[in-house]
Amino acid sequence: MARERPIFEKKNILVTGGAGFIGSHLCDALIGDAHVICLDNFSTSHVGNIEHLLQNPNFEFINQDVTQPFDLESYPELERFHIQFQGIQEIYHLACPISKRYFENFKIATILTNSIGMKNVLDVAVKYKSKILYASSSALYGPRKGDVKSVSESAESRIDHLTDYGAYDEGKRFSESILYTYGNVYGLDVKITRLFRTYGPRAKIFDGNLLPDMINHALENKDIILPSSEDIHMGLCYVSDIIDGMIRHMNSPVDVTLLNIGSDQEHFLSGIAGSIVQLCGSSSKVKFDTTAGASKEAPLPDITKAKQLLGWIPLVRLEDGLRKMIDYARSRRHQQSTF
Amino acid sequence: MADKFIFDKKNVLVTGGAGFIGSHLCDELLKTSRVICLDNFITSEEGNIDALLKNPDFEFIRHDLSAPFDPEAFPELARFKIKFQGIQEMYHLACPTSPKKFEQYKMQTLFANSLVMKNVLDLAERYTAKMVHASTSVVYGPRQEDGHKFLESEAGSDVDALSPRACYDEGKRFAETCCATYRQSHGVDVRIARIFRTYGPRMPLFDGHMLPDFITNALDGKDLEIYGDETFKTALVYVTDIVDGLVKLMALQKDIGPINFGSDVDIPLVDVAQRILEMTGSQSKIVFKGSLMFMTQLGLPDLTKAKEKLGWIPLVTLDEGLKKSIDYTISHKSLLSFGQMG
Repeated sequence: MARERPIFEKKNILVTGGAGFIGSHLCDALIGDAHVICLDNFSTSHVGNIEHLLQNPNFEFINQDVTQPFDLESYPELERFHIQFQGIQEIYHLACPISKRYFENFKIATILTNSIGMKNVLDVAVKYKSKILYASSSALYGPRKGDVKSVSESAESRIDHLTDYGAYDEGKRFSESILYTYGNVYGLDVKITRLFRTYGPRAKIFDGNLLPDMINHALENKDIILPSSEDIHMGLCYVSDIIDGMIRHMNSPVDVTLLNIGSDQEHFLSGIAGSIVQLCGSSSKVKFDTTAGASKEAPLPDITKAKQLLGWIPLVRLEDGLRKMIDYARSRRHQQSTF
Repeated sequence: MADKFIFDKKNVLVTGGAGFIGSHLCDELLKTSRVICLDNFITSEEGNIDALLKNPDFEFIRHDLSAPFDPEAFPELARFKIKFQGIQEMYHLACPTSPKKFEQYKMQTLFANSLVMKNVLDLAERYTAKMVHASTSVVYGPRQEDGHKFLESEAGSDVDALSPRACYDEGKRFAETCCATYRQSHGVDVRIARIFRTYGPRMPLFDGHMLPDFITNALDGKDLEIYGDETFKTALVYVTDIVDGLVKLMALQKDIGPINFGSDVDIPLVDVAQRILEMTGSQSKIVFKGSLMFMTQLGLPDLTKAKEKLGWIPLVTLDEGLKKSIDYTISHKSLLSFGQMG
């Protein structure tokens, strides 16, 4: 019963997928008052995201694929965290391959992560009686239905599980079921945070993602072709707000299981592109792809529960967030061209 | 490659082969093939395959598929020459199903729909075997307004991922996703059969499946217990019809996507119980008890695709099926009640 054991000093926190876009920001936020064990296998993440943490004595990186069983007490580099005595107090489970451009290559890894990976991480939680928070996805809600703009946590989840994206969409749903069942059977404190579209520094800039592609085009003064024949609405949440929401969720009472975290403010896609052009001081023009058909709009989160139960709201203004993201993209592009 | 080295009969693997449906499938397949039957007896019975154990074309391996299975490592399978002949077909039926012990098998159910799927699909890939995956009507979610029949394309319906039943309902959907993903990424030729409520000999007794208990209790003069009320309706398909459907699906040249197998004739369960009383000449009473989480009315199938693409329809009438089930119960009565005492 690790939780009853005396905590000598700092909490031990495990972050899976800790070298990813969101995971690395989470490690940054946690490192101030905890020992952070960052697990990743770099399948779709990058060591550059955590390089600045590697020298920190409260941080340890473990190169591990979560679909393979692992024992945290078997790593000599973790000895200083005294896991056999202190246990693991909290687990943030973010590991899941995500690649717009190379999705095909990671499909099998995606279903395995969403089943065996989830099991392996939960087995760690069972062993140490850790609280565990799972980073789920708004993909579960599918596209907007009719005039319904936003979805609450109880909105129905109607997705076709046999499509090309089933490995991700259905996988995320099944992961929630595994988590829920473990919580139920082993009496664990489990949390599910459904994350909506997130942006910010360290989002991969050459992976075919919408915002990074826009920024790349703006920085190169190339026209920005929006992947839709007409304008659509989009919600965007800056990564530091997402991290704040997840940490508050982890620290919330045991009965706060399922929460939406994301921005409920919507922008026109053309407006976002326009802001990027302006912030980059670019001469790019924004055009719609007339051959693409109208894109489906993703729902916005209803964040009433998160506001009430966590006192959380997204704070970062779009322009401020985009400016930071553009700065990051500039420096990454610079590094890329230097090597 | 698997097709090239067939010296005589096909090698066919049946997972969950000692279960209710699996054992009937083994019976049928043995007419033309060698059958490797895998089971861990979690909700199945050795008694279901007793009659087959002496058949030289049949071999039973007790194995829990949440661990990988290497058929070439078992000396008892040496005579099937799997190394040279490979495995031509795989029917994957293994998954715990127990209305009464549902709670107890939650974790195994989760693993059956994830770890086990991986191990089985890996095996199909290894031998380039054709595979039929036994899925279920629960992927459609709960029964809709009376009379609605689910089309195969309707599987995007709402299933609660965070319910106590999710390990099964959502698990079965994920299992289908595993099939689709292995097909897309590794070219595994796996076909999905969505099986609706099935009955017949060898259904587990006193486990909440109701029908087999109706028969046993009718014969013993005990009350017939319905978990629910007079409105509990269900459609029932006889097990040999399901076996026929699975074999037809395997025989298809090309995959045609998921396919429904079941009955689309809805009957109040109380009428079925009444019929059993008549057929057995029993004086037993029908009583209603609280419902079980894992025993729901289930939806009805639209059978158009099965009819048009496979020429499949359920053939055994309810009376014929009940008669066979009753005869089976009578002839196995001493064995069945002995099993119950154990």
